[in-house]
Amino acid sequence: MNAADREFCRRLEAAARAAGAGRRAGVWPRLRRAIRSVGVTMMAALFVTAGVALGDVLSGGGKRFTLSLLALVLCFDVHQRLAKLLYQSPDLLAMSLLPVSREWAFRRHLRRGLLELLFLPPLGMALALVARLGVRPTEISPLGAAVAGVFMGVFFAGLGILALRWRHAATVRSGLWTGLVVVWLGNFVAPVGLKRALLEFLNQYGDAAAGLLPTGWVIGPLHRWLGGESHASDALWLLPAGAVLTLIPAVLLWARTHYRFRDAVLLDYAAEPPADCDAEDREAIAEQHTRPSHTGLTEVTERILSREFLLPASGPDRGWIERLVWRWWTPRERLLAEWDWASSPPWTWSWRTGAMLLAGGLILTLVGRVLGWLWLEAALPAGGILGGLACLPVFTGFAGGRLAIPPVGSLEVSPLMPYPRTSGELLWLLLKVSVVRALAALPLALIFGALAGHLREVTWLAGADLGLRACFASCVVAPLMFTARIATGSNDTQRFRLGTFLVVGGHLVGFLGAGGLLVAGFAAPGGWWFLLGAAAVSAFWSAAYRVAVSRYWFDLMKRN
Amino acid sequence: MLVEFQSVTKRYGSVRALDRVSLALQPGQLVAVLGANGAGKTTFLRLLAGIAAPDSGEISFDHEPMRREDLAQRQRYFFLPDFPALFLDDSVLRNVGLILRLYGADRPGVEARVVELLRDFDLLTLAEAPVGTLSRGQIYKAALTALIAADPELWLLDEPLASGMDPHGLSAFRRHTRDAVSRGRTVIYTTQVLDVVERFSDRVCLLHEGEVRAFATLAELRQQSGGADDILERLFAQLREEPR
Repeated sequence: MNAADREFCRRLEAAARAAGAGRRAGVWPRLRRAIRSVGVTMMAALFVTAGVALGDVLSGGGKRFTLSLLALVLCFDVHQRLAKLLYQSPDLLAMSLLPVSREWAFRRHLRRGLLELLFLPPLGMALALVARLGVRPTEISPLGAAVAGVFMGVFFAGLGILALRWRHAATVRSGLWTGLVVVWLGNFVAPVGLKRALLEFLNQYGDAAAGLLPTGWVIGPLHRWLGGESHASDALWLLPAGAVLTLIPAVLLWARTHYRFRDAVLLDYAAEPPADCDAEDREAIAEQHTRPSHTGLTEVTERILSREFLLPASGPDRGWIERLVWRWWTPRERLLAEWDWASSPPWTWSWRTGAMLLAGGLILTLVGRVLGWLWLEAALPAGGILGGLACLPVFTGFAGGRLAIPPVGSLEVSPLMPYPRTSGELLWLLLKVSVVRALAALPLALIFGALAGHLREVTWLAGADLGLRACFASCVVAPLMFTARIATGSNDTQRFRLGTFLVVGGHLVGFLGAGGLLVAGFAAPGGWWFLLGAAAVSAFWSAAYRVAVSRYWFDLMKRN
Repeated sequence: MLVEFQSVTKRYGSVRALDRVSLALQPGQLVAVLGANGAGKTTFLRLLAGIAAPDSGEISFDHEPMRREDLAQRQRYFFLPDFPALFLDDSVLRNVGLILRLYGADRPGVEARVVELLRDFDLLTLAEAPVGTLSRGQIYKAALTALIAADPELWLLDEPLASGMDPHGLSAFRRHTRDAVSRGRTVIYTTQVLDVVERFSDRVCLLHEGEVRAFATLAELRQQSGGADDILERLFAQLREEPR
């Protein structure tokens, strides 16, 4: 690097620092960043703690499956952090104004991302390996452990990179995290009998389930190798792992050639591309700015004067669930929905997908029974969980909506701002969605629950009751999810004052309390009482939080 | 609308963005908020818009404390940040229509007002174009169209004079703002363009390191300084020379 290059890089760094200046203004910013960075590891440690508590019964396939699941969650977390750095970094603003090529910006962000993130998978895995496998570090040859660690690190970072090509990655990540937390909470409150049955099931079919997860292709053989039980067929699992690694360059090339940070950022700042902009970016920006509507003036004027643009939307033209929800909403709620969902949300489509997954789970289980392939019984819980996630309003319909204004530079603004909408009316809007979707899913849940109960030799009624609880629980979750969404765009936990401690305490009691009660609602005897308790906690905390929002306890914006 | 700050302090970490600010803004005034970069201008507007929350002190509208959950109160003001929050995939017209409905301003006759405003801002031909295809100045004009047509009691504008609008757009903006003020609306805007402020403000609020150093009409400021014409420039120069 020559002196000019060094000077240029120095200027770039300075501009990037200026663009993200606000990030340094928070309370204890370094401590907060450090806590955020190790958040995943902390979750891993919690998960491991729960695993240690069950160590006496979890073995073989069960260990391999839980480890693979944990590693997959870590991979998706790596992906999310990487994607955020590449596409939402405040530094992009500085880069868009400086003479840098797209490739250079991409490489710089990717390098930073990998450097920041690469330690997470090996760290999580090291924790998990030591705690879960029951293998003392001294029993593993240092060279073997190092090679395995590097291979796993590269493989998991590679999975994170591959997910860049997959637009549903963020949704899957949220689902996996939710599942992980539920599993962890469930460990503590589930009755011993149920826990043992589940763990025996995991131990028996864990290998098959782990084989379905990409992380299991590496963890399975490695675990067997460390335990001295590996055999030649394990090498076969390394073939798909190798295929994943060979795909990385192609995905990186795709991400680099599709890296369009400059036009998106510059749209906000200037109608003219900078002189040093490369030809492709210049063309993209020019196209953005020369695409006006050529409709005649008279026609436009007439259309405006007809008040067509002020008329409420006529309602969804497809999807029976969407139409039912639309009928229940008040005119004001319909207006808010028009604002918050650009197009008709895919609730009916999700219902159909859920129905197919539930039916698939039942059919595969029956086929497995007929053919004697008992491992196919894994399809029953898998179909139940995936089908339930698809057709129940677990995430309260945020997906596909636009309840957030995209962040500008390093500033993220709450979905409540800046136009006149209150959290109370938005919560009612979403609660109505949840109730209608839960009622729509009720017949599916009852039928699946009853049949699954019969297949698992419980009782029809117990299974149906479980389905009913799932529908109820999805409505209980709605206020908490909404509270979490508002909290995400606020600095409610970043100020150093009494109110902050109350909010942090409220979040802990609200989310963990309601979460624990929900889990107990499924696992403990007298479950309905726990579910009602969860509903009360959820309603109370969301109401209390709205009071805090209204009374200006914190900003409805935050620096990223 | 009477807007009152009562000893309002706002910090970002160790940075004191506003420090014990107390002032009252009477209805029907055009107020220019001035100050060097980082003086607290945008924070001042964000506090009024309910986005930021004061660490201490209180802000009230017509003697009523601000409440974020009070929809009627929120419909009385409109905050236009330097990067307007519009949906880029939707047309200018759909954005304007939705905002007017959110403000309950879709009254009869507003459509003619929208035509007039779009014409004034040279946006009529682009009314059905997606906002994402417009330049920054045009996007700002689209948001201004919504604001002026909604006609709330309090207008809060962050750096409208540096929004990328062309001279014609700026001229239309000033004309409509003056008209609104004459109808009793309160308009508060931040800027760095001092020579425009001299012609386009009833009152000046000069912030320096989070403190209000002056809140007066230009005539009052001139009187205090012995009649100097370039009073704002002098005040800025004085503030720069102050020891930190």
